[in-house]
Amino acid sequence: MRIKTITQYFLIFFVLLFSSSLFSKDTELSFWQFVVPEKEMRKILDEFEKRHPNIKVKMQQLNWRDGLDKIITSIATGITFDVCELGSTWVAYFASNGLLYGISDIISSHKDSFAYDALGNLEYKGNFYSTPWVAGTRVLYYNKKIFKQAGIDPDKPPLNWDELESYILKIASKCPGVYPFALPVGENYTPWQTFLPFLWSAGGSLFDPETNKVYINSKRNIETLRYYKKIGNYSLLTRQAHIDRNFALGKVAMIISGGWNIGLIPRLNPQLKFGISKIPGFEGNSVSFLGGEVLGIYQRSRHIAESKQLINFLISPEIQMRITKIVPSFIPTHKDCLNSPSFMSLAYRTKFIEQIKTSKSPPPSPKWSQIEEEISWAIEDTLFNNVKPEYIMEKLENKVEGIISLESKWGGKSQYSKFTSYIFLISILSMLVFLFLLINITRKKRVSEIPFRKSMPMFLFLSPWLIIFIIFYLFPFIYSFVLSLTDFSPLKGFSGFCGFANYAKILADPEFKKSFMHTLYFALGTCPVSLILALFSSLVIYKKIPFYKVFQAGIFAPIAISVIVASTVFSYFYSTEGIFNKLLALLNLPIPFPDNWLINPNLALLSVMIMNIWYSFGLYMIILTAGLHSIPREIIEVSIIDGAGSWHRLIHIILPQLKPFILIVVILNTVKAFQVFPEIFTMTQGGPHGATLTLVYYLYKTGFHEFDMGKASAIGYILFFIIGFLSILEALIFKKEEVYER
Amino acid sequence: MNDNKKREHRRNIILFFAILPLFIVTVSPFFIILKIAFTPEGITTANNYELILWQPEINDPHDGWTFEQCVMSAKVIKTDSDKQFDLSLNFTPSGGNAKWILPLKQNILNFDRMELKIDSSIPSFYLGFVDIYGNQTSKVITVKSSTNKNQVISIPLKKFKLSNINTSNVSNVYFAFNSAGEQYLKLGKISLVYKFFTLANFKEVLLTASFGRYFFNSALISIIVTLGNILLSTMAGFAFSWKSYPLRRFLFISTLIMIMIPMQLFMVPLFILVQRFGWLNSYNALIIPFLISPINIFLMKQFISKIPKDFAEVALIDGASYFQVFFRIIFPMCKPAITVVGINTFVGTWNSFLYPFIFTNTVEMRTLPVGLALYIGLFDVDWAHLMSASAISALPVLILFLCFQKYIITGMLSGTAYQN
Repeated sequence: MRIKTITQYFLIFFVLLFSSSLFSKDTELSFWQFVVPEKEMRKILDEFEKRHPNIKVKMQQLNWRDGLDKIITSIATGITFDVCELGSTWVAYFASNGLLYGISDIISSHKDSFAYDALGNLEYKGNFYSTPWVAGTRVLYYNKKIFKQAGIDPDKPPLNWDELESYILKIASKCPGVYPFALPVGENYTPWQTFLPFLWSAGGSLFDPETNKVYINSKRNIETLRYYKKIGNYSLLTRQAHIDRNFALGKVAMIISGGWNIGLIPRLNPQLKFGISKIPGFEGNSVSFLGGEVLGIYQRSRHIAESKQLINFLISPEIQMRITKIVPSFIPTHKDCLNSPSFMSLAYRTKFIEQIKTSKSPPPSPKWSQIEEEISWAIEDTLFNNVKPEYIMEKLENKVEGIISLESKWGGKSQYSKFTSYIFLISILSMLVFLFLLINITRKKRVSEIPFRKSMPMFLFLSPWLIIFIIFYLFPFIYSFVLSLTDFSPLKGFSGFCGFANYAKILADPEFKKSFMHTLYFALGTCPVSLILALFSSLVIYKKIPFYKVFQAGIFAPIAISVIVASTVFSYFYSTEGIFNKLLALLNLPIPFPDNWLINPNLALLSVMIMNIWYSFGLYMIILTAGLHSIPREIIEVSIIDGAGSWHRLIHIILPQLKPFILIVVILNTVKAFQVFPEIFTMTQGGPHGATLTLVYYLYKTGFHEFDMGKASAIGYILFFIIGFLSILEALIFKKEEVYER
Repeated sequence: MNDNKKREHRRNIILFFAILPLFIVTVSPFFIILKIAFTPEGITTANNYELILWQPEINDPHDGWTFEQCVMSAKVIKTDSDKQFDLSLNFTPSGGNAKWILPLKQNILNFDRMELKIDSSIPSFYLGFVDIYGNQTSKVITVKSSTNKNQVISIPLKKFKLSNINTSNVSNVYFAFNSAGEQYLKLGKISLVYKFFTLANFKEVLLTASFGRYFFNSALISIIVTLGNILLSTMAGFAFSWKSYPLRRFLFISTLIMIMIPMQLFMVPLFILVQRFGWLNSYNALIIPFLISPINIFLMKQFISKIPKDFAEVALIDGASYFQVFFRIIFPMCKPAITVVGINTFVGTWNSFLYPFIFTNTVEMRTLPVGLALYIGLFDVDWAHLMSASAISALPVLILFLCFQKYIITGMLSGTAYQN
């Protein structure tokens, strides 16, 4: 009887368990976004989960800066989202690679509820792959107090180009301490976001996405660029963040910027009386830039229906209102939101909405990230150098044509697949031959060599390293090599081997030569200086001068800080109001133009080098100190007894003993110098006009901006060969004299 | 002998002054970081350490007032020093109130006190702060009418119960006047004076729950990876520097090769591996691939090969196994190199950004540098919080170094110990 009841209970238990797992089949959606802070978004998603009890949403918070990279890397390796927020300029790329699910049905069901031109450039080849979510635009901010000082009516902002120019001239003459205007430079996105509104309002255009015809080199655009250069002569030229800050502090009369200033200005300077108006357009036709955030579904998502429900929820007017309350620099895309009076009563809202009605997005192109970089470079070239606008526009048109025409070669098998299998085999064989030679040449049969069996314990000691080496070093090494022989792109997958074409392409690329030279300068500049400083400080500290402990701690301290933080702090030092400029002023030396060192093509690389030296020589000092302490004291004492002077002692005794450590320092230094990346990434992103483009940054750009992983791997390999060659060279130079010790 | 000593002493002083500028240059960014971390946000842009909320020159006296049973009229008076608004408030005989609301979008904790030039026939008024969620805190302020026309009232903010409101999200400050009959009110400049230094930034950084988690993750990972490296790479260095045996050279050269490879090259393959193992967003991914680093192996090998091996050889002949030789003799002798390896690894892991960034998705797994990077927005940098967060995250490394500095300097455990 008891057994029966027990089994009965068990059965019931299992049935319940089984059935509950059947019924509580919660779908779990993966949602990636970056426009709303994590906590607030979680609250919104919790509400969605409440309304849809069997859908759970897992959120991954991205970051503005690295969001795109993270998305690409993840897709490349199979981690995907169900719903993701994208920038509107990224959609074409993702769509053209078949990564987004077509959601024209959502669009058509909401067709009439999208305000202004939110759908603008989201259509790709007749289909929609994303829905508008929230959007931002740019307007003209102007300082009313400066207007009054210059004799301009503070309630009459400039409405067209002529007025803008005359206002600028008035302010320049009557208010000498302020900048009449400001134009952003030094980044990849803000220069074109400010320039294109001018281009569009004059009726110019970039290119036609359907026919791929480029219209850049037109008379209108040349005149626009000429006008831009004219007002650029009176403008503060720096990054957008500094422009906003300087405007808030009353140092710039007029700027073109986005909604985030509404919160920023009262915080920085509550006394500032400023006004907002539409961007002055050519003959009054005001056009601005539309920066849209959109939502898309991954093509191979397994929960399409639920994803659509999530999207419908997120783009509903109620949620859009909530989001734009949390992040007031954004504007909803739903008509109903724009009509609600409580919403419109938020400060300056009406002005933004007026402007957004005449805002445009750039034409959709899968290669936009490359195009935007070229446009930004062309703008910077105009503003900094005295090159004729005609020449710049012509060059730009050629470049953009080159980029766009590559597009048509995509898709389909690569032409090289026929010959590549042979090349692949040959390269594998040659690698094996090389390894074989390596083993035999460097190996000298010694009398004291232990036979294999007896050396087993040695291998035991080596085993942890061997395991990790094979899994985490050897496999990626070989995989990268194979990758470098293909034209793999993370979003398209393999389309065939192309042999050493990648390598040939790279060696012929002028950008590669440039980055190689820059890296070489960088290494030549930082290694000797670092070494000398480290040597000097370790020797001095070894002498136990007063307070030596304090010195040692202080010199080591920079390493305690993360590179990213150190780079950010230094970029503050190099800015216009930073310490370096103040120092120059103190010494009565001329301040360079442009005065932000990181935007100055001549000073940018030097600035990064200085920061790198500051950051790294402490580590080398420690290594050399450890080396100094390993010198047997007796040798030194004997030399003192023998009557050697301290200088002689230094050169002939200490330095030779220190040789292996100096070798370590030199090799480490070279390797790190050639691999310099986080500093460049944080401070200059490749620099003003590629002035700080180094090899690793070139690799990163190829892999993550142009999404060409095959070429990127090839660059990595070339870099590796260069570093290896140099290291072997250095080791040989040092080892020559070590022969005696052996 | 005395002469020599004097000469040496003099030379030490010269060296001291030679290295001093280098030291100052190296350390000064720290002071700047600390200065910004302790400084209230916004002080750099302020004049005279005050934030002017309202000034008669600029603002309209009618902005922001609400009345109940009261009527106001205003006129501008020019006093000796600056402008002043002369307001007359006509309350009904049964009493009324007038409330004046000024927008205030600051973090109250950054300020020490409020200073306002006010003269009034109303003996006292309410001064309150409201945050964006509607919470308020207020206090009664008495106005002593005096003949001094430039009377400035200084109201320390400590006296307010600031725990009632969300101090970093204040939205308004208000003045409420309750009275009856005709009253006058003379208003001059109203400003908030910044504290000279504040702990508000640190408080805010530490109170965000995610920071504590980031710190813990970083600490856990760094400690485990450092200990693993110390043990395992010494073992590998020992194996490489001892006797010669087949494949030793080949393996060592391949180790060297791995040092030179840029991280970005391995990013995608490593990500695939980690994903296949199911380690994504877990501690495994952040620890296991980094348990041994080729640079450390190289350092240890260089060091061990410099040690005279007499003791160890004797022990081997006497019948000790390699393990015993290693753990009892060689390992203790390596302390200087181990210190270097340990510090190098700890600092490198503590500050590493690229791989934790790729491998982690959620707050629970992120490390400090990734968290710090989030303070750097696209268009502006949150300096005050970034500096205080960096100061906190740099602390463990500095403390560790200060502790181990002894071992490096005194040379107590340096190679000379084994020389009898």
